[in-house]
Amino acid sequence: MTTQATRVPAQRDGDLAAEGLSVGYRSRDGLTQVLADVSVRLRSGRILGLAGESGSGKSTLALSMLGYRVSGQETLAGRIDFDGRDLDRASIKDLRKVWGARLAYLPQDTATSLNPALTIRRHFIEGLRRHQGLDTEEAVRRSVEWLGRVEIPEPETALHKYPHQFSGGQQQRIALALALSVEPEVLILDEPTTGLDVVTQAHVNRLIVALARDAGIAALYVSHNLALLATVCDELAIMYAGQIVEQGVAAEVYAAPRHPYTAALIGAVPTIASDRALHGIPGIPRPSVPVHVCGFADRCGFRTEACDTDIPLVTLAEVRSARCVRLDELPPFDPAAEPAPATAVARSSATVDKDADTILTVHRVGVVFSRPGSGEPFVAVDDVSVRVPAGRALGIAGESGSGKSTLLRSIAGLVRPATGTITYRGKELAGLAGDRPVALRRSIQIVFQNPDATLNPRHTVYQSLERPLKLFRPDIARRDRRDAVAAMMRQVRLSPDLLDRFPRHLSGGQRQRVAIGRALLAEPEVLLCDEVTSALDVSVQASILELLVGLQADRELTVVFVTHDLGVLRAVADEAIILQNGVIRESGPTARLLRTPQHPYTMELIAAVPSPERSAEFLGGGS
Amino acid sequence: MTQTVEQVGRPPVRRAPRRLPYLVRQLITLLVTLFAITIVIFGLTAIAGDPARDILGQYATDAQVTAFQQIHGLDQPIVVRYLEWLGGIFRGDLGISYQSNGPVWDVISPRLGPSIVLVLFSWLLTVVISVPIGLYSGVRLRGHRDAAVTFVTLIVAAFPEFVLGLILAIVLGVWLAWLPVDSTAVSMGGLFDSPSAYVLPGITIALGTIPYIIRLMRANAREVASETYVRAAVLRGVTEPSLSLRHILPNAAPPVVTALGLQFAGLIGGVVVAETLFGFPGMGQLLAQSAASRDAPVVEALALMIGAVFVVANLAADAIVVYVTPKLRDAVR
Repeated sequence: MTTQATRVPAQRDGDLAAEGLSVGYRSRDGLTQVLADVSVRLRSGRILGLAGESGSGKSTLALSMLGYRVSGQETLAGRIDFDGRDLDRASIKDLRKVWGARLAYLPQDTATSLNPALTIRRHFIEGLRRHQGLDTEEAVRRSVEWLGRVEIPEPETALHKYPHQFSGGQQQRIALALALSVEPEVLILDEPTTGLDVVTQAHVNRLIVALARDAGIAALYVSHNLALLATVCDELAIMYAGQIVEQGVAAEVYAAPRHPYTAALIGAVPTIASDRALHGIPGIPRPSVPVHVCGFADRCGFRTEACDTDIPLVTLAEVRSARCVRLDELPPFDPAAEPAPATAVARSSATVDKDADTILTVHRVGVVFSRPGSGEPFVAVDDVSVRVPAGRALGIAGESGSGKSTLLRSIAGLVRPATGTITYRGKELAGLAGDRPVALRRSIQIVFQNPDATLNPRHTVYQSLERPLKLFRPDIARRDRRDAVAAMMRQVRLSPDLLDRFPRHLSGGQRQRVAIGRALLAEPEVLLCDEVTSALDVSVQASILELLVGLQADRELTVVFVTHDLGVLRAVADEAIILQNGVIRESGPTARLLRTPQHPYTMELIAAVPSPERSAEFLGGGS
Repeated sequence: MTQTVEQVGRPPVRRAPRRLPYLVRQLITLLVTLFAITIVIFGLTAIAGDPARDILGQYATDAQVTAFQQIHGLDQPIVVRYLEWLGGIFRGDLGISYQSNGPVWDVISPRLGPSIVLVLFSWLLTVVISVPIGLYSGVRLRGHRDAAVTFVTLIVAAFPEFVLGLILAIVLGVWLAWLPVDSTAVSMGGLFDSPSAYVLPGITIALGTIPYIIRLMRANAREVASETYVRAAVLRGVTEPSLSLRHILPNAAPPVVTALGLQFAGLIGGVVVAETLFGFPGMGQLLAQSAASRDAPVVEALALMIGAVFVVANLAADAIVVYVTPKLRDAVR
């Protein structure tokens, strides 16, 4: 694979390239530059991975490469070369001839990439008739063939269904088949598997790689997950603040990053393989292209005065370049090393205290729902028993629909178990939180996945944080509340200056810190976390996880952490249980569980985790 | 929890009770709502007091008043009167008009046809004008031209119907003399013998709802146009008109269909105004006249009919929304 990757094919028809592209958005406040001098070339049969945090400009680049402009978007310099033509200056009429015919696009959100009002058949034959000149009968035949290729069961029947009648993974596979059915030369994928389960994600990624390589398609794969990109792509381009900061062959970039930002991104991805510490990247990305300074300087541990200038992209080898003035001076990348100034917390997984008191006992709990519409009963949690030791972190992992969130919610008293008991310090808990005494409600707090949905948008940060004090902490006098809240802000590493802001003024990571702070202000003994980082970028996720691990240790807090990501599980949990279809498949100390899994389902989950070191294995797996 | 130890843990699997089919549930809703409407209507006319004195005039003798009350059953307790009225409806007997002293049905029936045609005409006008304009301005228009559409709809919406009707009458009826200002011709000859007499009242009624529907359609179309699946369709090479009609309209239509159902009420309000304004011999005009002359049986009958039309229109709109939305179609089964 390495030999193939280092050979650079000559430019040929069907290549799509951005050449020195600079793009800005015009608004009332003037022009904001979001891409600066970006050059990438997509080559037939190869996948280029484009990595970066939210707001780095990676999605803008993906759409720009199709010649698509969102309103207010302006091209400041450069061109998009396709067959010697500049797509950026092509007329809409010419673009419509290549869109969906020679250039295909697979958008991010699985739930919204297909039109809910149209059948799958309509989605397919539209493009096939227009671009391939097929008659309806031939188009239907071709659609069935493609649906089969992406492993949709009963393709003929599937054609007459609507998108919502498929699972998220199936929808994304259908969207992939739809994009590929017109036999395009270029495929642009914008976070195509975000929001899917690990196993489904792995499945879709394998299909993408296999089908794209098979058809000799030139592909651009956009994601914030560098480990995933390094696993599925041939080459990598790392984007920061609208600039490419590093580019090269995927395996080489991942193994030996040259730019401090690339190294930081790699350090932020949780892995299941080692005890490597997880490092967040402090600060937030700058929203626009830097002027006369390195874009990453304010978050970089290696900053010197030399960084205060426009930094050129330095070519290091034939397909390797990086944008840093200190390339020759930086120490070589060491994944185990502490990042320069940033703090990091590693989990000491070896010392699980066997004698820890049990604080929470879940005894043979079952939860039943009725399916919407049909009213069919549905067993979400099936006879689950768990003991949670005090002051430790228990992880619950599984795919969506495994019942992991339902189990957590039944502990929180948000759903009433149909059977079984939950005891807290030897006392049986009432099924619903409303029936529990205030002191108990205070002791068990929960943080949810999406802070946007749990913080009242019309309450300031202070108002949100003051609420648990009003409810649970009569011991804190009214005049002391502000101090208590400010102290908590510092504990979750937020500036107290933000107290009078509204949630919309905060970044996603900051909002999640507020949500965690709100839960902690009740002084709970048990903190329940439901996928608290899955809506966040990896770099932000790492810093939230660092925070949680630190707080857990400092406060001797008991944490029950639900996640679908085994790397996250490894980073936060001393002990873990693996759930599938509401049943516990395996449990034990996290490190051991992930190193020597016993149950086939655990093995399947582990095999689905993208791993650059085992790229070939990952891509070949499942077949 | 009274399970034995063996049962603990495995959740008992109970089937939820079967639900009735969607259409049957809708029909039950319809009947219950109509029943509630009869109570409200009868209650309101009863609260308005004894009409005998108002109708017979202040010089009527007490004997005349008592006789009137006996003839129309006004001396009975209100519950008895309500039950008799309700029973009458089932027998097709809507009562006796205080004014004509003949059956209410004979007063209403000649006016039914013209009003139905008028309402349908103005409703169709609303759909045909609002949906395309709203869709086009939502999807295609930006900046000044979009603002212009919004501005014009706002201006039109700001005028009450009787002012709009008068302006139309002056411009189209008097200055240009294209259309008759007086619609009494409808009462003579067949239903469609004087089509021009429907135009002015029809437009007047439609203008009461058109701005609202345009704005709703525009807002929904704009929202749907920004969805990922529309961008994905554009990037698959889908062009107009297929993009608007096939990809955007079906997703933007449901709230508009609901509103068009609800707007039936608005239309009927407009009917009373427009019919009175243009002398159109329909139910709206009759309603206004009967209310003024305290002819309770006629008012009750008309209110009940209007209520029934309104409820049916709304349920029909709901059913259409369910039918055109694949996701809902599966959910209601």
